[in-house]
Amino acid sequence: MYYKVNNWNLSVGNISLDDVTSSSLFIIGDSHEIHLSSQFDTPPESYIVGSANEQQTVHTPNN
Amino acid sequence: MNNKPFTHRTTNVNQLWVNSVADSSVLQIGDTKELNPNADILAVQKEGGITSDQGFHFEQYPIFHTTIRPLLDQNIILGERNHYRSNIHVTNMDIRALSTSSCMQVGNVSNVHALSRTKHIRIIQSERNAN
Repeated sequence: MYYKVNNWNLSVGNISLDDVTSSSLFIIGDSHEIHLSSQFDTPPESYIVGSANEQQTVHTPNN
Repeated sequence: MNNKPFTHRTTNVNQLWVNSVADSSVLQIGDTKELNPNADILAVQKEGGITSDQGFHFEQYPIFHTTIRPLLDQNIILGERNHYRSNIHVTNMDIRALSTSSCMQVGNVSNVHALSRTKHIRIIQSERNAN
């Protein structure tokens, strides 16, 4: 495959965005190479019941 | 094709509103060679509030030891880009928030490498019945 792009006029009136979060990119322009990675970890083991009043080290099994 | 292609494009923005930029985020106006935002976040929600960060260390969670390996099959596609107009025009932009290793780029950028790692822990006093 040969990928050919011809850019002519580009004009935008209004852009309204709420949030750009977690390794996201909003670009008005040109770019060569983009790598975006995001990891989010909230396993069942990280939901700890019954220790909110204790002063202790929190252990999350396997994590 | 009545014009000779331009080598670069210029971004024109009349007005840009950004409310907040937080946690390793970048608001970049102008051309950039490289952007590498990184954010490691340990989010602890505890019923009754948190009084100390003792006992919470990044090192004890494997998510903060991971490395992202580049894609094995890059699957490079050959091609070309021709800019027959040298401007990108935006009249108005309104962004509420940039957060957690995110980027807002007005202009050109060569390389972007962004990484965000979030570990979320919730601690509650007792299990409640869901109604």
